[in-house]
Amino acid sequence: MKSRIVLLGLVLALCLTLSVGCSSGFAASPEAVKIGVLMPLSGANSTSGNYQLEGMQMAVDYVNSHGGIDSMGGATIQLVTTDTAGDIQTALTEIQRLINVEKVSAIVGPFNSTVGASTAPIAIQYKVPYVITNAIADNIMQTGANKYVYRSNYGGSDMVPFRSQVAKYLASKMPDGKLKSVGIVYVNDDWGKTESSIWGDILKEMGVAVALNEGIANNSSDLSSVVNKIKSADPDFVVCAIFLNDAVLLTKQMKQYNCTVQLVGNGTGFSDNQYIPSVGVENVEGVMATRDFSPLFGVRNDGAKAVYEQYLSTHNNQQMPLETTNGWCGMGTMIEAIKAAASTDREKIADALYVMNLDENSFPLWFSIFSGVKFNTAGDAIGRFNQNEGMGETAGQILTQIQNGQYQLVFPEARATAKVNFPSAK
Amino acid sequence: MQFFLQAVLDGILLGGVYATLALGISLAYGIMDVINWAAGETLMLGMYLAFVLISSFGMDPYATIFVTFPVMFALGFFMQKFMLNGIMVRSGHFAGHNVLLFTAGFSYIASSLISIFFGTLTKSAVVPYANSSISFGNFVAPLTKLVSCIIAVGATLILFLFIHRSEIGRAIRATSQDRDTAKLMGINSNLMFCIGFALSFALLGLTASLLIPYFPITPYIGATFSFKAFIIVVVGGKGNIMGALTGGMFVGLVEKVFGSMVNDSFAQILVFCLLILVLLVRPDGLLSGRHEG
Repeated sequence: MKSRIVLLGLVLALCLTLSVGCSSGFAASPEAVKIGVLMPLSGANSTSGNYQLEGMQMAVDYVNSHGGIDSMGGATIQLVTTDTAGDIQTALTEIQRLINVEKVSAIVGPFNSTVGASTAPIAIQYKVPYVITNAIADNIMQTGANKYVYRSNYGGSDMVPFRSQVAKYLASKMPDGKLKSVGIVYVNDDWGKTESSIWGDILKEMGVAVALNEGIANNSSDLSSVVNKIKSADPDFVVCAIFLNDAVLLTKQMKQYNCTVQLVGNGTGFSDNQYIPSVGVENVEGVMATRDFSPLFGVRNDGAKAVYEQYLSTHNNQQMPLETTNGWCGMGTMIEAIKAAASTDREKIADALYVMNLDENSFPLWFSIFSGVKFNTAGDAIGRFNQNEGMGETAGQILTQIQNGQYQLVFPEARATAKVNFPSAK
Repeated sequence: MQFFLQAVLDGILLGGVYATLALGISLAYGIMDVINWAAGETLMLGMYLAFVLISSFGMDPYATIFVTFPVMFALGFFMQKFMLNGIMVRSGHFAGHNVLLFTAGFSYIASSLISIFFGTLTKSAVVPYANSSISFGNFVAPLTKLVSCIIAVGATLILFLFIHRSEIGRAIRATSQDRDTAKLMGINSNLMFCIGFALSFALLGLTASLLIPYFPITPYIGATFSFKAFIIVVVGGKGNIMGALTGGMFVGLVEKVFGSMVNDSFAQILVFCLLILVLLVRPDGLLSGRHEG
């Protein structure tokens, strides 16, 4: 009996020693900061969603592998990823799970404008800092004064000056310096309608006729009727705000129907890595696209260069998609806020975002040509609050053209890697 | 006028492919009175199979029919024999509901598995003759669409003859009309269900090979076609082979003519209005009264 009591005592002592040792061991490493991610990882926008998540993960890996968050004793960042499938109801469930169950300190996402508009009020309601990425509809930020919802990339209205510059630039290349008419093809969602409206206003101001203004469903099964309208209207160029699948289908079908009208894509569809191989090099010559700046055309510094070269080596030398650079920027912005807050506390992180003022060399901007990150907390002319106003005149946008199977930067001319071929001989 | 006639031509070319797609659903619906909710994903599986054959083995897209048709036939046969027959026997009056739920589950598994193995990136077969087209005066018919349409219409007619003139076809029709009586007549109804469902899958495999020359694919592409196919089935009448052909052509024409004359969004709304109208006025389909079982 006595020996049993001694044995029990020894076991208890051992457990106590181990538990003290373990708990002191955990106490030595700071608590990981949990950031929730809302992203369409399945469904129609899954390609873009996965690209963007990769950019976010790259930013997290970069910080974690470079000593974590200094101001928090080297705390690492942990992403809690959720799949919205681009669906509002799913996103509303997931954001509440992130806030109430996962207890994340902050949220980044969600790519889709409709999801952004429906989840932003939830973040404000629960007082959780939320950096919106990619979702560009203006109404997302028209939430009234608050310190919780921010957008790192441009909104629809911020694209106007650059779109206008592009229209004027292409007009200047016409023999008489004027555009006769321009067509618009857009996907029937918030982004597509925003683009259609922007281009319509720009063309109206320039006195250029809109030859066609055609909304299409995302992932259309056939676009021959649109192609025939383009062919019949024969505008100087067609601006397209459509996603990759439709961009591939439209380009292929234009070739099939011998339609040689110049395409000027907007957003992801015509700039995606898969666009050229999916359509075929011989079919994409001359296609232009406005897009966010890409590290393909240069990086800020040696740090950015190292990350980019690492990316290329693990991606078969494929260019970094714009969603990935936006993901890096959005997540980087949130990480900078956490660094400044030196806390996992939601209020403190929101306060840090509110007064954020990053310069062009800060790591979230490594793959963009933004001049900084500073949020317009007073609200802008169209009632948007917390929109990044440090993006410069072109909102980080460029115009590219595919020449000999490669994307070339053709505008702004100061950064151009090749001369534009427009109007091309039909 | 030329603009309108070009739209009509496009509608017919598109409608032919829609018809084989709809037949894939219509056969299962007509014979077994069950809805294969995974029709779109079955088509997607066929498209990925065709894509692998083209990109890895350099096969011609249309030659992949000789693989996609039998492979999808075998998959359909396997699914019916080892899974659905059991579910249908055990479910009694709820057989249709349970098969619908089963295929809904299968659709999720299929798209998830494909996204795991192939990723979610868009893939597209680059076909050397993809840009070729045939011109009749001012009218243009893309070669791939023309060939796809001809094969689709041919396959529909062959299927019509098979169902109406062959012994197996008659047995399938007998089973669809009255399973118990067919059994009493010595027909192996389970086998007929297997053949019917396998044929349904094989037609979706065929459609996959017809679409792959010009249509980009992702694991979620099924939904683009499945809703449309269900509309065609309703318009043409379930299980009605010629109905599927006419329904496919009709929907193709509505899409292209109104897409050209008004706009694509309006045309899509109109297609769904057509579904509602047919359900209200002729719920058995436009060709009701000519049910072929």
